[in-house]
Amino acid sequence: MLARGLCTVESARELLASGVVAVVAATEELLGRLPPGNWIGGTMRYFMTPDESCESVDRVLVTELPVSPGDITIRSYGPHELARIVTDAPANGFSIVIIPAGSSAHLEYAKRAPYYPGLFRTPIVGWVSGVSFEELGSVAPFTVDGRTGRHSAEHAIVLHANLPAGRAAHISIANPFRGGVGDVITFPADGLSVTDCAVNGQTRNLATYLVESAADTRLPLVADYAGAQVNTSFQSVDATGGVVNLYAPVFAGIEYRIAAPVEDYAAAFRVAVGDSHRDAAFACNCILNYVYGDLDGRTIGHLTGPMTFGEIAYQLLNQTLVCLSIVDA
Amino acid sequence: MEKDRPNASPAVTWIGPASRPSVAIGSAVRRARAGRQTLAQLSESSGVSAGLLSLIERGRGNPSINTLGSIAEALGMSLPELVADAIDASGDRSDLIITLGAAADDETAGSSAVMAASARAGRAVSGRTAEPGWRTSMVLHGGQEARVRVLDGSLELTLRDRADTLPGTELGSPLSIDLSLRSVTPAATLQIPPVDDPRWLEFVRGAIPFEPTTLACQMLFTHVVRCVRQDPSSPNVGRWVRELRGFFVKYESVSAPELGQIFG
Repeated sequence: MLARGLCTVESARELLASGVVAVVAATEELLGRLPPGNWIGGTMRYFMTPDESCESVDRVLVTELPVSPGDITIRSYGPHELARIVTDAPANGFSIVIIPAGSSAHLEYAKRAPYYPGLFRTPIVGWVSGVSFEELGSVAPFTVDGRTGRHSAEHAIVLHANLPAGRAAHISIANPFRGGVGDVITFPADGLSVTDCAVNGQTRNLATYLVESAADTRLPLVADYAGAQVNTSFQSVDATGGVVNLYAPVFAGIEYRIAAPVEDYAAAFRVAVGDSHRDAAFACNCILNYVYGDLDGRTIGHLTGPMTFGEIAYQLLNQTLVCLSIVDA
Repeated sequence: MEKDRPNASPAVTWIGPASRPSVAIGSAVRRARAGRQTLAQLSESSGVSAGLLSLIERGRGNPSINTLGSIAEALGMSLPELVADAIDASGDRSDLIITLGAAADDETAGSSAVMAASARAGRAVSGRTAEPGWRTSMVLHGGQEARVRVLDGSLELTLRDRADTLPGTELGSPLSIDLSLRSVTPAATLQIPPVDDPRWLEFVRGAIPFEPTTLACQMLFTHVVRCVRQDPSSPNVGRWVRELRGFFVKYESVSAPELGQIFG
């Protein structure tokens, strides 16, 4: 039985010292008390568990992975090395990425990842590490290389795992949001910071449009990727300056709509997840869902993972549950 | 979100009789007629009374094979096409599901059997009337699905050492048999065209209807089409064709449904 869930730092120390391969999420203080081992970690204090979604500063979330230490490599990547995550990935396996929020690596991966050669034939999942809301802007999120104990506020940490023949990594998402029936919004260029857009083909300033239409910016922009619903969340709307900042980039040539309202996030996620992903090796969700959906103390299904500052399923996503399963090939 | 997993060896599962197939047939007739012919016109062209046509369309008729054949002909369709439409639209997957392992190979022997078969990918439709003693065999490639509906007589099906008889319907009795074959064969049996195949160009331009089934393929396809539309230069198109082809080569063994949509 693989270890997966919140535990005391003492339990986490014992588990990681035994040599298991794991992904760890906790506060910086707790991460610093963990022993060297076959793990990667990131700062995070918001979690989803089968019992509840919660904030914790005295427990550690350990996700033990179903691979042996001999089948993994752990590497860190600076912002200009991120494309190598794909080339370094095993021919058959998966890669779990953690990137510090707000770092150059975060921005670079957000904007460039879809253009990395081979990205979509390389199973890559992961998350963006963060801090408490009170610490935003004053304390930097970290990633940790468990083998060396090295912390970094600038580097992505990646665990590459080989899988044996006959086994394969399968990535899926659960997204309770659907594009509404409202306006179609497109953008002239890729970007995390947007001024101009086209609304139903008419050029508009996005900030002005959002204000004038009284849009609920807690709801993400949703794009239909050939059947997959992909979210981009609003970070801020500066109506005076005419600038909208986003948590993940929009891409030119993609049609977006503001999501239809979701009455009950917890219930919507429980429906979206259903009984699937029982065999999940790894999962994560989004801090925006935790906040906007008032999920503290509520259960959203049977999955365990961090509530992160960005989710990665190949590319960076927002307000989406990401799941990695290991299945028969 | 999980994909169907093939069994290692052939397995036969009897699911049960199709639910109200006559309703599906009636709906197919109505769809084919709608906007093109009135009931009276179809009655005249098919030689089937308007009253019986009305009953058939409402799923309450009990037409013979000959009657259905006349209706199909008057609608400009073959009987197998009409039945395949009914199968596809009804969502009534099958009565008998046979999941095949590595090598999918079956033989059929007909006894005045009228069969309608539709392959899911590309929706190719075929059908024939088999005389007693007629034999054939077919090989299904990875992910392909063939559906066979026996309208009349019976069909003997042999899967390696396993034999089953699929009873069709007697004349005048409701249609009742579907056969579904699903298989996943080794990747080596699939041929992925080289990068200079012109169909790739159509594909990356978004000109081929495509419904990918995995998150990776959905994301990749969407990015490729938008990138090519933004920059249709030859180097850029070539780059994305290679990217897509590389994807399908890596996931060849599970990409047959997608490949069938593009190259089928």
